[in-house]
Amino acid sequence: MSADSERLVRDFCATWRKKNLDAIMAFLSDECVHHNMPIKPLVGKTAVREFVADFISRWDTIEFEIQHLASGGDVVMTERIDRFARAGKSFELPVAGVFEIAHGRIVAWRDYWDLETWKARVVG
Amino acid sequence: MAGELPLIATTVVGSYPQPEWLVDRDALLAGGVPRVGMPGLWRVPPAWLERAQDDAVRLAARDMERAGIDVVSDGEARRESYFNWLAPALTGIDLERPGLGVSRTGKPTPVPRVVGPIGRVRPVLASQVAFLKAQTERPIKITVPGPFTLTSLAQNEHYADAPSLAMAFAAVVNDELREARAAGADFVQLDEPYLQAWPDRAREYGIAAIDRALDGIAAPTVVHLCFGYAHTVRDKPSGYSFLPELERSRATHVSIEAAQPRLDCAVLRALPSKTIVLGALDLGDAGVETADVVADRIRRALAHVGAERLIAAPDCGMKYLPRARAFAKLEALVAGARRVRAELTREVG
Repeated sequence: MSADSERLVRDFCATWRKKNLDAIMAFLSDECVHHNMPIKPLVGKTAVREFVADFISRWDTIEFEIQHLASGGDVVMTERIDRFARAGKSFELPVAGVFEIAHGRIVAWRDYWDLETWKARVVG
Repeated sequence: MAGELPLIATTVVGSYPQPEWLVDRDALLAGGVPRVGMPGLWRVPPAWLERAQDDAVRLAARDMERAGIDVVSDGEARRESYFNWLAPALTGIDLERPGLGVSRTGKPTPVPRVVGPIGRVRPVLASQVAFLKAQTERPIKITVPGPFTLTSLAQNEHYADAPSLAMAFAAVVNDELREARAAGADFVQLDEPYLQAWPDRAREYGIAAIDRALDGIAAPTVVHLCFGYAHTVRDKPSGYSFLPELERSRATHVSIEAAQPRLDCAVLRALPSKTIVLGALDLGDAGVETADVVADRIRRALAHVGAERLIAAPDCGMKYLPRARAFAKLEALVAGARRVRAELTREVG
């Protein structure tokens, strides 16, 4: 199970590079919860889809580089550098992502990152 | 459980660096060890904190497994300090108006103020132990501040004297340990750094309090003592003012800091019935030890302690280290222990 779950998460992270909304959403269950930890969780595929659609529309390129991945049972943990670029400027954000897997889909996806780092690098 | 471990097994003392997304590391490093609540340390809002702590425990346990540690902990990822998490679960302590104590470095420090009988409002460890148990197939260890240290860092306004307060703390610690054991803790550990800081008081009532805390708790039971975190205490003596006395205690294991103070391991001969959890990583050294250095430290202890009674560990909790350094040091610990183990098994073979 762990190997399958790890592969699923690796494929999910790699798919972001394509910025294909349907391809990204295909990894998520209907009841999935996505929580960018500094802000409120998004519950259900519709809410997550709106977020993903908005996010990929804001960036020219998106890349989730997995630096380290570990799993136990149905939980996969990633330590990533997420890279985004637009208008010739690129940004990096260290992210710890935790994914819970059930029946071959992601049912919970929690990303931990530092809001101050985001503000300084992207907003500022 | 200890019998299932390899010769010169490895463990951690307890804590492991908490991720920066979980705690404000700058605030953690700037302050001393908190003895009362420090909620501002957490970066995750209270509504989601427990879930985030769960994830941090997963990361800590996984790091320890990757490094090859035999007996893992939860990294104390849920704690602001080794000490201050228990008081909020107890009656008899005024959390709103802390008292004032004196740290081992002589500095005044806010401490729990004891205003009534010590009892438990709710259990703390059992659910945490069950969670950790579900994350790993390796033996697990859970730590609790010991009754002597709890007493040393409290302002007592209720009990007749310090020994009475220590026995009251010991009773609630015992309840926690019983439940931790029932929930799957393979090793339970009392953190008692103040045995070394206040040896005269420790001789008066320290062993009685430890024995009460460990009453009825099946082995292995560990008592950890040290000279304080390397982050806060830099100049350390090369010998303990309270150590042989632990031979009389119920504890089956004694965990000591030995690398940074360059301990003369001959003192370990005074603990012939105890398994020694030997500090073999100097946490004050910003470098990462080689396996050779770790192996030499282990060999120095083996001159005085049988290999079947030796476990290798860091000197103390790794909470204040950068995570990459802590991980690399654990890898060195494992490599050093394996090297010595290979030498010993060749000799036996």
